[in-house]
Amino acid sequence: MKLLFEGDHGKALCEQCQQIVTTTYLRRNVPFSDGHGEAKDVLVGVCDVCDTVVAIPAQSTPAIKEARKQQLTPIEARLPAFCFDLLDAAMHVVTKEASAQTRKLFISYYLRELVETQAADRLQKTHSEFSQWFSNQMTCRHLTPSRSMKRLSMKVNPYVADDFIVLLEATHMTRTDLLKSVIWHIQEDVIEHRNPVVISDLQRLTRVAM
Amino acid sequence: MEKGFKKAKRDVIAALETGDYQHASRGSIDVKNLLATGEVSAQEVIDIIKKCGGTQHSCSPHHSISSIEVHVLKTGTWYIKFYFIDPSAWFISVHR
Repeated sequence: MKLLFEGDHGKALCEQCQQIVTTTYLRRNVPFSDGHGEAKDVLVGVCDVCDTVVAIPAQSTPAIKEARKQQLTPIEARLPAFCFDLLDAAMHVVTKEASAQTRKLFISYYLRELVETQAADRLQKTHSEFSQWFSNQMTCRHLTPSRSMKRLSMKVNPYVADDFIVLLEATHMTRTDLLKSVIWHIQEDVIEHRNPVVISDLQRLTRVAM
Repeated sequence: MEKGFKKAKRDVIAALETGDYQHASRGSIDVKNLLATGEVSAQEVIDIIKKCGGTQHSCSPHHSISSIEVHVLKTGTWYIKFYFIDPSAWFISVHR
């Protein structure tokens, strides 16, 4: 690899100046183009004319990769309060130390699991089954659906954020419906079927994440 | 065009093998350049480019500096966009 040092000079195409310019390699904080954070103190080529970052040498990629991993993306939705009851009940089956952090862990685990098993169809089916079940419960009990809503807000790493996007694209569901469906999967596996593999996985994860 | 493709392919693979490449920037790190962000390795990009044929290649002058040819490889899965400023290869995009 061609190694560059701070103070080295080079040439690059500057989009700002619209010409080939001379550059100086310096350490800078450089933002990611999607607006999610920045890579701090990475070696980059800076235009000698306009001071814009115009070059990123190959040797800066490991530092950029590490910085990208540290960026957290928010996943937020308003869900029926009942969904939180289900999620919290499942968490308490797995651990007595459940917290808001455990919610994120459970949902992240399921997003990965659902991506790996290419479960887009299953998620859509689960959502309609859940809606039907909920509607039946309301009818049987002569209740009107509660309007109580709660905000689910969690910041996740880029891998989990990617899993969420993959599932949104594969299912064409809204964020809210996807999260409701994921919570219903958790309810089925952990509370209803007491799936020993899932419970054991989640217990291990919860233990190391505490 | 075919000759341009063969030379571009050979040169960009050589640049990736020797590490003589950089990433073009407009003041930020383009998250669509997966080679710059480390989500794909140089070797993976070499393997993708090696499988490319001339029909997957197109080339046009850079919008602001017409003497620079911008090469695009579209494999159906991958989109790779680069140019050369002698002797280095410069990547604009490497994404799925």
